[in-house]
Amino acid sequence: MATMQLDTTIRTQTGKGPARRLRSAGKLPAIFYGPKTDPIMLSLDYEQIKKMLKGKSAESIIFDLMIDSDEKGQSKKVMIKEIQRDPVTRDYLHVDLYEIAMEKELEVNIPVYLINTPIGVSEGGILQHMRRELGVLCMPKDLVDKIDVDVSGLDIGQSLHIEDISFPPGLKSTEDLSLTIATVVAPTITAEEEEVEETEGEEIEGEKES
Amino acid sequence: MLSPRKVKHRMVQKGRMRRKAYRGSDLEFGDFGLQATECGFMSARQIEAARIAITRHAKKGGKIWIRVFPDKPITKKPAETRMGKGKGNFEAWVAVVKPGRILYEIEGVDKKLAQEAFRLAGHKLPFATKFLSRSS
Repeated sequence: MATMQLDTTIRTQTGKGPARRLRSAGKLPAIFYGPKTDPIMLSLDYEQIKKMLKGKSAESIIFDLMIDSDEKGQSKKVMIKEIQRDPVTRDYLHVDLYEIAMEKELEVNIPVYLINTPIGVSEGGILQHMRRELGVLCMPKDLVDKIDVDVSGLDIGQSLHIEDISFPPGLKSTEDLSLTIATVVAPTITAEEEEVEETEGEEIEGEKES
Repeated sequence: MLSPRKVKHRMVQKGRMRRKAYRGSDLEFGDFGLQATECGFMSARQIEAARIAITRHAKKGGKIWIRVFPDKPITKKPAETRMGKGKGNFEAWVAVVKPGRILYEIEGVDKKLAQEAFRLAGHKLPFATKFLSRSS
């Protein structure tokens, strides 16, 4: 999997005031840490990280982290551990960058995409995507950004489990193999619903009368 | 209509709706969602009315998830009553909704149908909402 270069600068000020000033200047506050590294506060270019993450799962990308004050110009391999977003505007607020060892196995969640239309859906069934992410164990070099699952063979009432899918080479599932990924269910034919008028003075249980 | 089966206190204080909903603000189940962009109380009747609007528009297709539950009792004094003499009578169960909260999710329908179903549902609600899709 290709890695992307992420240019960062060290920031010294903490707290919401400086963080807001950074964001208004087009930067994104971030923190870098690892099992053998002390935390370093960084700031990223907002547009750069936005472009890198567009249409991708943030957790399955390896970055080459370049810190400006790094005199030797050595890059560090990092992954996004956590990304905070504004719930309404969906803008990024903060990023946690975690240092990884290229020779050690990683446990990551990889998005699962269903491809093709199941037979059951063309017969009127509803495709339900039960698990949109799968926990996998792999070496960083084997990491993929998504797992495509072909669901064209699913009929109404049939399900696809983790054991049924073929993982890309080097990936092992960390989850129970009997878990369902997708299922095609029969459509529920609902009769025209009548709005039930609730009677006033609804009884509430649970409080002892004194 | 939705209501708690059992409660610890029959009446509760009004409370304030500050800040945004940092929990329950991501799509978890479906492909499309209806997200609140303002705060407000969403009564059990409104939850049901919006749900009916979505199901009627989606007809037999799709699966719907309701992401809010009305667990807060609201009281109201009768009309033309002087202040005092204790707290008013129980009026409705409401869900406290903050900006960013996902209200409904749907799966198994196309984007156009989901958009229209959520537009109709949004008209039943006392605050502004927006359409959210997983691809965006």
